[in-house]
Amino acid sequence: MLVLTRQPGESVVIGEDIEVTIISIEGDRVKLGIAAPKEVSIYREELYLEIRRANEEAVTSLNTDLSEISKLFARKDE
Amino acid sequence: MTLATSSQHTEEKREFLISLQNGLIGLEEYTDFKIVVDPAISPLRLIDSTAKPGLGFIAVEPWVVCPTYKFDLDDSVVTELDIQDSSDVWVLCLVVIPKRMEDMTVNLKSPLVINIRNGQARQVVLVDEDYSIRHKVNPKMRESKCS
Repeated sequence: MLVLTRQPGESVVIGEDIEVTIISIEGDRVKLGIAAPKEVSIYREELYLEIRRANEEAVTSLNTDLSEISKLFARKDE
Repeated sequence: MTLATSSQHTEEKREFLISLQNGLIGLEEYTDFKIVVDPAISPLRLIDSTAKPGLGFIAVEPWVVCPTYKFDLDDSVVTELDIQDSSDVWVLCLVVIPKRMEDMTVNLKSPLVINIRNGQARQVVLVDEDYSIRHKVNPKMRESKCS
């Protein structure tokens, strides 16, 4: 991993169109500003990991009885 | 583009081929799937990999579990999937079916957005909307809150 030391107000440029700026440092919190093209997805790592875990858990085993499960989704008005 | 209703009213058995840009988060290597709409298991939909037999998911339209579900689709996704009209969009959320059926959850936070006109799709992350990755589907809780 590349490790760089930066001060508030300074930036790191990644590739041609991504810029990460250290906005401020307060105690143990670092505020980052990220400028990137819209098609680049940026999330907090925890969110990414949680979605990944949910996706992996959503892989379905073939022996699940889906017609039974589908009944649990029956609409309220039925 | 705001999406707040389902455009799909399907009663007969149908299949759709989709190409998922970047795959699913964490499962990026699989991009080609077949969605099966089958009245026998409705409102559940099957999402099966066409590349890896046995790799499959169950999904549901979010409005089935959350009638007020609504989100803004990023312009970048509208462009990427070449969406011309909101009626071209099909939204599905993955279902996690654990051992205890009462613990079943639906991922409302990162739905699959599908352009039914061209089969292009993407799993988006709703950063600005307050939906759960694990929204509980508890049949006993008739009015469970979703956001």
